[in-house]
Amino acid sequence: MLKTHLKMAWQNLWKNRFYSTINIVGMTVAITCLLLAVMYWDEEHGYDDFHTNNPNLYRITTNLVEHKGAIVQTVGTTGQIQGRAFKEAVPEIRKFTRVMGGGISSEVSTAEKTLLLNTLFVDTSFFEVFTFPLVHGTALTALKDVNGAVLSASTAMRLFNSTDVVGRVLRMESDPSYQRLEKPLVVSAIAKDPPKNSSIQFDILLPFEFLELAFTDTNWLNTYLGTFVVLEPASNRERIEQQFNRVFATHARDQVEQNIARYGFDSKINYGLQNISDVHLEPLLSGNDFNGESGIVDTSTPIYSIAFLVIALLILILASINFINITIATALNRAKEIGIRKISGSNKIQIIFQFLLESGLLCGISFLLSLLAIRQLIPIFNSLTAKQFAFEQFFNIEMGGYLLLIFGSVILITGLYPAFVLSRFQPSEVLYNKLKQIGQNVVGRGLIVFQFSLGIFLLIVAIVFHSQMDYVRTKDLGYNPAQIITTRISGNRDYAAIGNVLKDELSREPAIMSISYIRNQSSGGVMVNNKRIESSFKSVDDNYLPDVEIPLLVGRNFSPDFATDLTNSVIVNETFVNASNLSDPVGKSIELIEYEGKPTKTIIGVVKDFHFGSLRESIKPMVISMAQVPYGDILIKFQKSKQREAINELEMVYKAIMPNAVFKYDFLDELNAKQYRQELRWQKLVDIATLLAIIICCIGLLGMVHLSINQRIKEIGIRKLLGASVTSIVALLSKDFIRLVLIAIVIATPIAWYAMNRWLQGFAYRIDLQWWIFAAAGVVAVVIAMITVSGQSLRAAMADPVNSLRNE
Amino acid sequence: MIKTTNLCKSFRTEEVETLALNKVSLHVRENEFVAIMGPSGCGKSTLLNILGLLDRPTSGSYVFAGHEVAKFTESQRTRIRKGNLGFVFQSFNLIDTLTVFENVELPLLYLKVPKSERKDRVMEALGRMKIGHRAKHFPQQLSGGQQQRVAIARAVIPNPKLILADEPTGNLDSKNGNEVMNLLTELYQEGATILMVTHSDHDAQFAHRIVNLFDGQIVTESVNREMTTRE
Repeated sequence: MLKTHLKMAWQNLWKNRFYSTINIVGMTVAITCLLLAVMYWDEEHGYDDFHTNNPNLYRITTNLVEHKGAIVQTVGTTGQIQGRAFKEAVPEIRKFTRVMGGGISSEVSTAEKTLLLNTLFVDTSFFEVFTFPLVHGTALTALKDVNGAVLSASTAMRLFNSTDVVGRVLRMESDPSYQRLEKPLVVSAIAKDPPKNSSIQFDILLPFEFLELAFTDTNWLNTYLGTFVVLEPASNRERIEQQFNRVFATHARDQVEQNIARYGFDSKINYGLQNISDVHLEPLLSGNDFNGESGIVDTSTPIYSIAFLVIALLILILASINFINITIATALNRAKEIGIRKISGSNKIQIIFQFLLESGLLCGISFLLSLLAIRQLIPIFNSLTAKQFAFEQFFNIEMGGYLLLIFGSVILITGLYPAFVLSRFQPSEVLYNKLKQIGQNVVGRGLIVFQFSLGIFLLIVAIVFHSQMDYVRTKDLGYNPAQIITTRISGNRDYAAIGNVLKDELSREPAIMSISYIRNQSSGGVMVNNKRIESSFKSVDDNYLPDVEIPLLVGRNFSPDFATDLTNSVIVNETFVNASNLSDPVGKSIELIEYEGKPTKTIIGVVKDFHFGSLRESIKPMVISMAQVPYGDILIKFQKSKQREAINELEMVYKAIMPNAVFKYDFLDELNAKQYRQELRWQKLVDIATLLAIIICCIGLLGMVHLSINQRIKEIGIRKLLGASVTSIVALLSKDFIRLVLIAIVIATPIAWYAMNRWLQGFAYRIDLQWWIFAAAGVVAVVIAMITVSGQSLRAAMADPVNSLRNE
Repeated sequence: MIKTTNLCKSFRTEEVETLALNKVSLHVRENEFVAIMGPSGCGKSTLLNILGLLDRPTSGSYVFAGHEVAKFTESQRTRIRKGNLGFVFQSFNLIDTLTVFENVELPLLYLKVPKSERKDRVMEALGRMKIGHRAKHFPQQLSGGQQQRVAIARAVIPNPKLILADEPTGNLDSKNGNEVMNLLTELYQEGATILMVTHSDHDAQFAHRIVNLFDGQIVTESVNREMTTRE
């Protein structure tokens, strides 16, 4: 029985090759997108699940109030002191470890080479809390000695060309802790590389005790590193959090009072627990501050996986609409078959089964094609998502379950509705030709309008996306980032001396024009005439403003000729002047609110506003002071067309001065462009989604036009007989469909306008939504639809009327 | 009006060549009523389609109203067809989605007749076919006889020089069939030239001349004395 059904299903697909192809192409595209989206979703939601302590493994979070109550936030970090204090007070904590790093690189040397390694400072219990298996060495003792170091397997290979290197010696000469250690570091264990879906990544692990040689901190109000705890199974989380808060209340009382006395507000700190599986998608980074010590990297938000899934589902809906439309519209041709089946004793269920079998066969073919397509597309998908998926990932139980689920739902979605509609045909009606023509086919037309609305919506999104990104990329930043290399000095070194030698040596190199310094400092308050202004702070040397071509509006630049510039002078930007209502700013005094005291400074100049950071944010008030030591970035301006020489000269000088340092450099303009990498990836994604959506809309339309022409073939013949020209027939056939596209434009435009307006609000600097964007999308849609429709119509209009009129 | 010489038409399907018309030479004068008879598959409809400029002969000559049209392109044939030829089919071939009025109006539309004139002419034609009261109905709401009357109205409305009828009574009962034949006769008496393909001896008796086709060839031609005397 099944064999017969299967054979008939196959014959039907073959007989309707044209429509089967449309369906298979559409479904293959849709299933491919859906599988990729599910894979992405699975990956994003599976971060950090591999730790065997996982259901009981938590991170301590801190709720706090900052900036005089202006910001209330939850961060995923604590200070150094909380972990141990909480462990002592709360018996349900079995283990804890602090993790500091993520954005910390250290220069680590062997006898032969120096590498810049991603460093984490962790407690000895690190391997009992997390599951990072060791290749060599033992977990319990690996971090016990203050000079013990754990390398990841790949780092061991890079340093020693072997993983069997326990006992080998390492140096970190620029590290302040190492400088106090007075003995070399010894490799104590080799760990497998952390899996790529781990939020905790490292090249080298060093004991927290080692860090403490140079840096101890007992401030309860600090939040910068990660503290992870393993709780007893079935612990009451809320109760533990309350215990944390009680510990804080007792231990931190004096510090809180001091803080209120100094800044005039209470941080109102309280603690929470976050399961490690939630960390990746909810990283709880602190707003504007440096997050490079929080221990976790590669953070994300759920929006990406949701967006992927939504796009994939939309494409699936589009393809399913084609499927349903085509199946129902071809129903007339099959009405007789159904009638005969019913007369021959087939019941409704069997007919539904037959149709489901047909969609199952079709989906099965599409499914196999999708798997083939994914195999080819994975490299492209990886570059689009910045992930490292492998085709083999599909073949595990979990993905297998998803595959089955998707397969089943697709068959049901696409097969069930048409099957029910068609199985309702009454034999007496179909066999005696009483069945009315599916007249206007309202449902089918509605679905086409829906499809095209979606396509046009995406088209508008793509155009707006492109325009905004172009605008951002080409917007005048207020300074000139061209011809500038940036580098920096790292580690615990004599920055002033190195800076001086560097400047001296580099100024003699022919390809290098100028050297300047800039350091971005955290933001803070500034008092002007008793008004507090939140500002960002930078310190620069006297070459910076001219090198990057930031013009002074009034006053003067910093100068080594004025001894007071280093201590007393500041330059502010236009926004600062506007925010503070200073009418004649040069010469005015302002008061910086710093951790230690409130120094008074004098404004010596005002610069034109310039952008620093993403154009999502507007320009903030800025206070620039003078610095002569390169604690931040060193900018090297080079002669145009002498880039190669400049880099070589810089590297030579850099290495001569700091033989153990790792030389790294970037181009300032490329760094700026990198800020929009995420957006560029989304731009590509939207482009692809739009293209796919439109292709699916078009093949759907093609199918509907083909069907409509088949149904009207007699009418076309009659009209030709009566003298209709080819043009008038094409117009007649196209008109209906073009009208549907016009309706879709009317529906999609306001929705797209609303959505894109919302999106643009996220940018401080944005394009206006011009009418032409919508007009262009409309025109493109109409033209594409016309091309699709007219080919078919033309074919029908040119055909000989005899053929259509003959067989009755 | 019509003169064909050695008209041939062959169909080729998967290496089998069928000769549907074999050297047909036929002459039809203006205001003649000719019936073409013969068994199924003898080439009647093929001949009618070629004479009606719906199809092209494989070889031979066809002169219609003084033009050699055998080698005309589709668009040239369309131009000649428009207004000069009226068609009546066994299966009526009305457009289901258009009303009776719109169906009859169609040829005038393609002849670019002004709207007000179209309306008058359509209503007049429908009135003459005694179907005026059904102008706003759709074809499927009419009986077969009524549908065929609509089809005849549509065929005659541009005042064609030639009316081609392919089994016009084939789908009708005898009463409606007779009515249709009487209508065609009326048109003939008013000066139209009519070419009719039929199976029915009864219908053929309305014609002025009967042409018998067999295997694509004209085998006999006879003048209908009854009709001639009636004239």
